[in-house]
Amino acid sequence: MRKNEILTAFFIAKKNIIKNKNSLLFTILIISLGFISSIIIYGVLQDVSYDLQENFIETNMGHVILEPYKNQDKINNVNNVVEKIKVLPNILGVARITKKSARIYDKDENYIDTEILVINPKEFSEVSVIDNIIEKGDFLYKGENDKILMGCVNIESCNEIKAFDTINLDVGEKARIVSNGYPETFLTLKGIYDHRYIEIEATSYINEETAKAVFSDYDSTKADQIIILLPKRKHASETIEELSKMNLNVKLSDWEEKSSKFSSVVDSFIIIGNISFFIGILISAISIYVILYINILNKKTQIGIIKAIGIKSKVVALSYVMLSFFLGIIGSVLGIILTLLMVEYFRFSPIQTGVGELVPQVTMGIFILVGSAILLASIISGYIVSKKITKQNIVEAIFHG
Amino acid sequence: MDKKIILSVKNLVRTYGEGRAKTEAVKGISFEVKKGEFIALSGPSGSGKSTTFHQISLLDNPTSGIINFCGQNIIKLNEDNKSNFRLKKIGYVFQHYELLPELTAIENIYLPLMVDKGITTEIKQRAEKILNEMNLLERKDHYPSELSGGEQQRIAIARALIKEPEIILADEPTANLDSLAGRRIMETLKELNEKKEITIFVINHERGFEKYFDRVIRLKDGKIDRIKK
Repeated sequence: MRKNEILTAFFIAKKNIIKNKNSLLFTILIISLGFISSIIIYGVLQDVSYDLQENFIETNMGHVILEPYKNQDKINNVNNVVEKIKVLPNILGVARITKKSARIYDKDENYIDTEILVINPKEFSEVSVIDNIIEKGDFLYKGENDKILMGCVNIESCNEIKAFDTINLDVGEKARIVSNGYPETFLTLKGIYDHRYIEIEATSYINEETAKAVFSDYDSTKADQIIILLPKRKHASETIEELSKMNLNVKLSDWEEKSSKFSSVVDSFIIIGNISFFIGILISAISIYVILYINILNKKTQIGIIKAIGIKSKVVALSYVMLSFFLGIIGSVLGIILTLLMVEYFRFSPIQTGVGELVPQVTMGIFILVGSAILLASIISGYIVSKKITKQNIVEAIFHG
Repeated sequence: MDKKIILSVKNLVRTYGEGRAKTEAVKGISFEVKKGEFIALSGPSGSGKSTTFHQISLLDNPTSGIINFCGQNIIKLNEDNKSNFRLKKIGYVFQHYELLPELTAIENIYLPLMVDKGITTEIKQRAEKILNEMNLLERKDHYPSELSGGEQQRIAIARALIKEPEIILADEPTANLDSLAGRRIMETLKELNEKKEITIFVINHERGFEKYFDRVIRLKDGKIDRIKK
C-alpha cells in the first residue's frame, strides 16, 4: 500500500472519530469495562491467594522456616542456632516451636483435638501477631506453668459459626489435656485469640514451662521448627542464602514452599482467577467485535460512497482497522485508569472476607497483557468486519445500505 | 471533423435473481458517446437508466456485454484497476448527492485526490478554486447537513470535477431539487461541458431540460426506444 493511501485511510478514520464522538465514546466505555472485568476478578482472586499465605506467615509460619532433616528428630542446640540467626540482616524476629497434639476436654466431657505449639512467648510475639489479637484474657508469659492459649473457633462462647467442634470453656477455667503417652493434666485457659481466618484458630499455644509439665519428655534445647520473620517476602531468598552458608545442618524453606500444605486451596483460587481472566478477555474480544460490527454496519452507505469515488477497498478496510486500533488504545487506557481508581477504592474500603481484607492485586504485567489482548482483539475485529463490509457490492451498499 | 468515441456500449445485459425470480433490467443495449458530448439517458421509471449507469461506472458488474472506454473493455479489469478507473476516469454525481457526512464540503471535494497526492496545499487550492467557480467558497467548511440540497449537489459535482475525469456521469442530479436549483445545476453542467469540454452523461427525467443536451437516448423496458438529436 502506498504512503498516500495510508494517509487517506488515516484521514477517513480521524474524521470518523471526530464526527462520531458520542457513539465511539460508548464503544470505548464498553471496551474499558471489558478491560476492568478481565482484571478485577482475577486481581481479587490473586489477593485471596496472597492473603491465605499471609495469614500463615503472620501467625505461625514466618517467611523462612528451619526444620530438621528427615533423618533427624529435632533441631538441636536451638539457643545457639537462634542466636546465630539474630545477627543476620533484615531479621525482625526468630522463634522456636515444638509441635504437640492433644485432646482437650471441658467439664462436660466435650472435647476437641488440637495441635499445640510450644513457644517462648516473648520470642514468639516478635514473629507472630497472635499476641495482638487476644479476644479475651491474656497472652502467655514466660514462667507460667499451667496456662493454655486457644483459638476462638474451639471455644463455644466465642465461635459464632457453630460448624466446628467446640468446648464449653471460659478464661480462668480449667481444661483436661490428654495426649498419647503422657499422663493427663489440667491447664487453665489464659486467653482466647481471634483471627479472621478460622483455620489459624485451630492451633493452641503453651509456653515451655507448661510443656515440661504436660509433656514429660519435652526438651527446650530442641525444636521442631525455627521460624523467622522478615520485613518483606522478597527478602526470604537472600536470608536463606545467608543461612545456608552457616552450616546449621537444618532444612531451609521459604514461605512459598511451606505454603504447599495449603497449596491446593491457593492453586484452586489461582486456576479460577486464570479462567475468569481468560473468559473476561474472550468476552471483551467478542463485545469489541459485535460493537465494531454494528458501528461499521451503520457506515455501509459511506463505505459504498468512498468505494464509488475510486478509493480501494483495502484503503477503506485500513481506515476501519485504524479506527479499531484507536478504540482499543483509548479503551485500554480508560480501562487502566478505571481499574486503578477501583483498586484505590478497594484500598480504602477492602472487601471483608474470612481470608482477610481483599484488595485486587494488579501488576504492570497484567495491564500489558490485557491491554495487548484487547488491542489485538480490536484490530482483528476491525479487520474482519471491514473486510466483510468492503467486499459488498457498491450499489447494494449505497442504495440498500 | 468527427469527434472521438470515448464510450462504446455493446449488447449490455444486466439480470437480477435466478429462475422464476429472474428480472432482466437491461436487455442488450448498445450506444456510443463521443468526447465532449452532453448527452442524456431518459425514460420512464424502471426502464433501466440507473442500472445502465451503474454498469458504465463500474459500480456494478454486468451480466454480459462489452463496455469500451477509450478502447479498453473495462469490464475485464480486476477490482483494484476498476477502483483506479473510477478514481481517474469517471466523475459520478448521485441523485441523492451521497456526500460523506463526516467531511466538510471542501474535504468531500479533495478526498478523491488524496489517494494520489496526499493532503497537500495544491489539492486544497484546487478544491477552493472549484468551490469558487460554484459560488460556494464561503461554505467550504460546512458539513453536508448544514447545506441545502442544491448546494450539496454542487459540492457533489465539484467532487466529480476535481479529478478532471474523462466523463461525468450524473444520475438524475436535479431529481431532489426545486425547479430553480435544478435549472442552476443543469446550467452548471452545460457550462462545464462547453467551457471545459468535459463529456457529460446525465440521466434526465424532465422534458424541460432536454434542450440542454446534444443527444437524448430514450430507454423503455430495458431497451433503447429511440435516440433523439
